[in-house]
Amino acid sequence: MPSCGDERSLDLDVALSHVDGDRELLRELFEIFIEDYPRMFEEMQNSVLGRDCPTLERLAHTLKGRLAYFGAPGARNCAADLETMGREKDLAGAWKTLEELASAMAGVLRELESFCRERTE
Amino acid sequence: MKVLLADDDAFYRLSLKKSLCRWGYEVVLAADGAEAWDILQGEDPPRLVILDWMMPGMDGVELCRRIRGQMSDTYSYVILVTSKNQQEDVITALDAQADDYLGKPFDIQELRARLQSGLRIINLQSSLALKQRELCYQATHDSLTGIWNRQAILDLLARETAAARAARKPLSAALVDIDNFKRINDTFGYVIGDQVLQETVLTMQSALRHFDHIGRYDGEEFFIVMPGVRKGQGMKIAERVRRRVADRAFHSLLGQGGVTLSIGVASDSGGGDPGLLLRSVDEALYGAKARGRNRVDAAAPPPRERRKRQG
Repeated sequence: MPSCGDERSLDLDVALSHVDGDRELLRELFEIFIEDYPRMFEEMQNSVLGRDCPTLERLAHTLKGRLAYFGAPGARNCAADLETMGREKDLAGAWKTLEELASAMAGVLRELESFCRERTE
Repeated sequence: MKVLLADDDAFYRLSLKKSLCRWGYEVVLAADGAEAWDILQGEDPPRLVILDWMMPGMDGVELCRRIRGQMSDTYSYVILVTSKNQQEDVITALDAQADDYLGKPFDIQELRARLQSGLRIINLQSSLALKQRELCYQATHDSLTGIWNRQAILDLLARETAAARAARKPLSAALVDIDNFKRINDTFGYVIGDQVLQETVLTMQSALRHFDHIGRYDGEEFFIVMPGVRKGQGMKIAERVRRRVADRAFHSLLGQGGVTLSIGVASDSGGGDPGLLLRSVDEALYGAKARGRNRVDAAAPPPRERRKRQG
């Protein structure tokens, strides 16, 4: 069975369609995301540890929205699964999904950083 | 055109704000439902509203229901935006009376086009509302003098007599006629005749209390409703109106005293019958005319009809 992270990590064309082709704005958004993401991931881990389902649902929902916006379907699906687990208060597969999210996000973050570097160089 | 953008995620606020500004909108931001509601209650609020569904506290759907629950003559066009993409979510959004629904993430050009549909609806609604206000004004006001027309002042008389009866308060009315107006018209022409009507109305208004009502009853006849007033004070107010017009120097061709008024006054002593009041002021005005014009007369108490009915 494929895991939720098995897809192309980032589709820049999709991301650009959401900002009307404004690469400068996209870079700004990527930078905000890169700065926010480690804290979001840590808070999601803490919410699973503390069985705080509403917080997990809220954080995963926000993350899902941003990843869809960037055209990162693999990582987005992991976030969507975590949101469902939070809503349904069933955290059985949460750790495994968090790991899959982390591995999908490694690829996404690499591409985001490379896009940001391109623009500043 | 102002747009309200309510989203708890600063990321979306930043990204949408840039595009909205580029399209020429003035963007007002809110970080949650309560803040958005406050902005919409303020002066000259945005009429185009983009609401994120999932917000802490009051969410977008609840906010939309609140907007629709409010009585307002200006329409808010609401687009709900969310990454909830199930069919039942679309139904919930439309049931909450959102005008449109966009699933996140959306192509930004789609938002641009949907906002344009919203603009069309808002412009259509405001031109209809303006037309309606104009028509309502025309239907109730005299076009020459700007005061109530015959139907409107009679409606006001009916409403005020009913209110006076319910509150057990007195009410007086007066019927005013410009003396020899036909002669003014025949001698100086309609243009000056119309100016005299307009100036007479302004002068009469200046002698009334701000909560008295005045309407053009017929040609050069005017009807005045004076709430909360017994006959004695009604006579005083009418006398003030008569004197102010008589003392005024009207058009140079007429000079001071060129325009005088005859006025009949009557009051309702709790019967709440506007028809009776109308007949009484008419009789009193007839009396004032018969006794030489430029004077105020009261209706003879008590009116014959009542005595008959009671007897």
